[in-house]
Amino acid sequence: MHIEVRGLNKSFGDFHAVSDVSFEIEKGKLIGLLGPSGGGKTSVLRMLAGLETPTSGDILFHGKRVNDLPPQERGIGFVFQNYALFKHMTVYDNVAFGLKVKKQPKDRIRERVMSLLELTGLKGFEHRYPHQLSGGQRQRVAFARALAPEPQLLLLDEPFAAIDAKIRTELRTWLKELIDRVGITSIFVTHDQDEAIEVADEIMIMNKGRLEQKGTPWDIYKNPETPFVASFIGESTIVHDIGRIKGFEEAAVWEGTTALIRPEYIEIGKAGEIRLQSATMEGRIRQLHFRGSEWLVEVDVNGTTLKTYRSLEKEAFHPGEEVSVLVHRAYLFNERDSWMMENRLKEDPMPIHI
Amino acid sequence: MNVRLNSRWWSFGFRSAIMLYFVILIVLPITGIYVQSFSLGLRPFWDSVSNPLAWKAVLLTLKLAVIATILNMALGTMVGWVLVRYRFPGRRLLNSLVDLPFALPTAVTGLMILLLLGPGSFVGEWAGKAGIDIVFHEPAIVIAMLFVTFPFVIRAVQPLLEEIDASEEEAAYTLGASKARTFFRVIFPSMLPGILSGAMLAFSRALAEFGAVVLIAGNIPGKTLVASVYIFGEIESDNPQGAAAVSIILLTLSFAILWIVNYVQGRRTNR
Amino acid sequence: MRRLWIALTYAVIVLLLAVPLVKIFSGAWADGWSGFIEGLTGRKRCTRL
Repeated sequence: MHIEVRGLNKSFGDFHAVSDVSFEIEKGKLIGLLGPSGGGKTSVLRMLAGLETPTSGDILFHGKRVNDLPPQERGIGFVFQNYALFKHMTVYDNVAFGLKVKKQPKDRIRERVMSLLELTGLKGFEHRYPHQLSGGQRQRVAFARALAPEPQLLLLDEPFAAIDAKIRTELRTWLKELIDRVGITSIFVTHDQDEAIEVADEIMIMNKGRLEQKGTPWDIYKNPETPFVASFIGESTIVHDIGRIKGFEEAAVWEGTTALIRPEYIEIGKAGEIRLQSATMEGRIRQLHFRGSEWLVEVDVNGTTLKTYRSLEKEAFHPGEEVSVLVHRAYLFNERDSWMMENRLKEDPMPIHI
Repeated sequence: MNVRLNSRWWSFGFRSAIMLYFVILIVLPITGIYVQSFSLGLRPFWDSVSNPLAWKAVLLTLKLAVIATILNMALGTMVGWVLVRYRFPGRRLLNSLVDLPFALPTAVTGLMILLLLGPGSFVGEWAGKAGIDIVFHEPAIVIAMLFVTFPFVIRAVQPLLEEIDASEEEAAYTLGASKARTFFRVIFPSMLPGILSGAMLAFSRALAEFGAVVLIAGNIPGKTLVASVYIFGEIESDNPQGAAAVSIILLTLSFAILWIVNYVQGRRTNR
Repeated sequence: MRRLWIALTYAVIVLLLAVPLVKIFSGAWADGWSGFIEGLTGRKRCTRL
């Protein structure tokens, strides 16, 4: 289903949960709605479902305005954060609920329910009650139940939030595959950027009720359009005094410019390890954290602490050790503008001396 | 170590105190009733129970208690629902009024009904003209039972309703279910254990009601004489064995109901 | 619908609980303060019932 949202607003009293959100979603896409808690993601989802009425703005499905349609008539499936399974019904009855509402013949219902249970790997559980299932299984029942009436749009509110970290990744891949197979337009809300990046075709980032950016995960990672997006996606260090970083001195000309430096923009090595010696700064190792597959290094440069990674394959550092630090690029922003800047010295290595 | 020893002694003390309390206040009197009713053997027991006035009193009590309980189930479900689900002026006041019957002495309840519906009152006169007898007839007894047992269903339903997750209803809506269908298929089944256990408690309380009923029933043997008043009468006429015989019928019924309530609630918590 | 249920609830609670409660107060003071005091001290002999 093609979805369009125009100038959507929602306020609860004085609180603006959603302000002026507009976007379009193509048919069959899997969209991740990402942002910190309380950013208005769930409100957008609930308004799409018809569970909440927008204060202003339009919601269009297939070009038709659906603002005044109740949730029953929108043709959507909704998976709730806590699954909201019907406690007193068996798995079978839960999945069959939406089909019985449609007054379908019994054998058709049976066929559809059994095929969905097969699809979601719940075969043999049809007579169980929700309290007899694990979190992951409940999640899958909720999923099968939402899919049963063949909705045109699937909305998922923090679908993995209540599941163990270990099963979560497994379930993510499973969900992505399943949605691909069913070919249904889907939107899921999450506050976990890894989840959004891994699962979604496109990500929409929301903060304080505003839509900050919409694009593929790679786009958003590479070209963040706002400081919030830049700081929210990936790990990063904020540097207020950019003039102290070698190669970025000229950026300090603009008043109030702040830099955001990702760990992977920083190269760090023992004396002589980095080739572009002229662009490096002296730094001192402050702390080392073992991250399982690499070291997270905190290094002190001219009074600023930068964070970066170091491969386990390379020689390990010790706290207090003197090292060379090279900052390749930085994301700069001030009140008016934001842009990416490469290290000047790196682009033009020692032109005078040769 | 010391703390653990202390806590063990404490727990032993508490447990024995509670057991003693239970035995003295509940087990002994109940056993006494059973012993008393069979004190002259099985034959006199059967005679006391098969006395037409006795079994008519028991049957009348059962019938009226069933009527009161059914009314209570309907009213209690409605009031519980409204008090939990809707916000409106006066809600808190109504909610606290619900407990009134628990707080009032039942004799006061009887007097209240007598003043309100009895001879000389506005309602009494009006009903009399319409050819309906209230006080000293069965309707008054039902009203008294209804009044006394009013809070049971409401107080049993309210926590269940509060516990229902709003998203369960919303899920039903997104699956295409109408409001009515959502109520009967999703909400009502969750309320049902509360309605049933509340109704059971209301029923056994209605069976036992004395204070409110004795003032307004008229106590005509075979007509408006309920079991509890019959027991009182037997004691007054110095026939403790007959009183005990009818008592154990009520007692056994109450036990059965208590057991059913426990069973219903046990099934609920198991889920 | 909502209003109907609220109105019914008001009706049930007021008729079944509140009205009898008011009635018993009005009954106790039916003959004024003197009647109430006489009733408490037991000097009054009921003539109405």
